[in-house]
Amino acid sequence: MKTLRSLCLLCGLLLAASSVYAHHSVAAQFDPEKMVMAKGILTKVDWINPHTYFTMDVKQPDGALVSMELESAAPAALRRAGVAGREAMKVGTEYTIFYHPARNGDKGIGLLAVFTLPDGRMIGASAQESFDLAVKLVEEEKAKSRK
Amino acid sequence: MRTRLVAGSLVVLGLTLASLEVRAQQAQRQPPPSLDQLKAMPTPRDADGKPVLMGWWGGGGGGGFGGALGAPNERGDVFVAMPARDGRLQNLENDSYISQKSEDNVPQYKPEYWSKVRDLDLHGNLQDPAFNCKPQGVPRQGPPNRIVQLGAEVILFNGTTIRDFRVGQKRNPDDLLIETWNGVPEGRWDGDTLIVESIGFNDQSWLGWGGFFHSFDMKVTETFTRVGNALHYTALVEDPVLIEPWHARDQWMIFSPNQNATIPEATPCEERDKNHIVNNRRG
Repeated sequence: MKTLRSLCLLCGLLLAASSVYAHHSVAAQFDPEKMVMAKGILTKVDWINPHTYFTMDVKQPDGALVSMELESAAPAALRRAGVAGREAMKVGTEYTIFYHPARNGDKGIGLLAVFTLPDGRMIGASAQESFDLAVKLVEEEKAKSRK
Repeated sequence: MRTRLVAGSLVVLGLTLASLEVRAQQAQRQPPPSLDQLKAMPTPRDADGKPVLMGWWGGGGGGGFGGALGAPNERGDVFVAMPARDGRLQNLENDSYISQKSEDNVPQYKPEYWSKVRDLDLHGNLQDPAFNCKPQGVPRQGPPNRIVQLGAEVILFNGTTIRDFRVGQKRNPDDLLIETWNGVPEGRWDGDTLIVESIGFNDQSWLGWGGFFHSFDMKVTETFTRVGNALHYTALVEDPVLIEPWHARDQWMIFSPNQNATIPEATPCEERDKNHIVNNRRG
C-alpha cells in the first residue's frame, strides 16, 4: 500500500519536477513518437540531480538482456513528498516499462514514461502521447495473445 | 490475498485523493493573502530598528504538488499528463524555448560581444553551465529562499547554496583572489533596504538562458526591502561587456507560511544527458 501511495505521489512529482529540471530537450535525446514496451528487473536507483536514474535489466524484443539506464525525475522533488529510497521502487522487482528510445540508437538508455506495477496497473508521468503509445502497445499485445 | 491487496491499495489511493480534496477545499475557504495585504502587515524590526529579513521567502506561486496528482482511470491506471501543447512530449521544451526567446529584458552587450552571445546561445544545450551541474550563480539563481540573520551576520540560502557576510564589514581582499560563482558580497543598510554588492566573480556563470555571459569584472548590486510580510528584491548587473547596467531582477517575495522548513542535504549532480544529445534543442 505504501508503495502505491508513493508511486501515485511519484507521478505528481515527475510532473512537477519536469518544469523545474527540464533543461536539455527531451526531444534532443529521445524520440517522443516511438515507444518501446519491455520487461525489466530493477537493479539500481541513482538518486541524483538533475534526474533520477533507474537501472534495469531489460529484455529486448530480440530476447537479449540489456542493462538500461532509464531517465526519470529529480530526487529532491521526490524526497519532499517522502518518495525516496528502497520503498519507492524495489530493486529486484520486475516491471513492465514503456520508454522512449534514444535518438542516437543507444540501446542502453531511454526515457521512462510509464511502468506497470506487479498487479497490472500502469503508472505514468509524461505527455499524453506517451500514454497513448503505451496503451496502444498494451492493446496490440492483448490482440496478439488472443490470436 | 491478491484481491485484498488490490482492494487495500485502492482504499489508500482513494484516501490519498480524498485528503487532497479536503486540503483543496480548505485552501479554497482560506485564500492566501494578496501581495497588497502582505505589504500592509506590520514590518518586524530588530533592536536597531532595522527590518527583520530572517525567514523563509517564497515567490508566491507553486510549491505544492498535490494538484499534479492524476486520478486513476477505470482500470486503476494513473497517468499524469504534463501540460504539453497538443499532448506532444516535444512541445514541453519547444514551448519553453519560445517563452525564453520571447523574454525582452535581456542584457545589452557592446557590439563586439554579440557574436559570442550568439554562439553560446546556439550551443546552449552543451555550453550552458546550468545544464552541466554547475551553479547558476548570482544573479541568475534569483533571490534567496531563506535568509538567516545572526546579529550582523547574514546568510543567504538559495536551496543549498549559501552566501555569508557581515553587514557593515568590508570584504577581505584575500577573498577576491578566488574566482567565485556567487561573488564576494559586502552588505550595508540604506534606510530600510539591505544592499549587497558583490564582485570577485568567475566568468563561467551566465546571466541568463540566451548565452548571456559576463566577465570577471562584473559587479552585482542586490537590494532587499521588507514591507510587512513581503520582500522586494532587485538585482542590478554592471559589467564592462555591457553598454549599460542591466536590471536582472525586480520581484516581490512573500513570507512563507511554513517557517519550520529545513534545508535538505545537497543532492549530488551528474550530467548524463550531454553525450546523447543529437540536436541543439533545449527548453
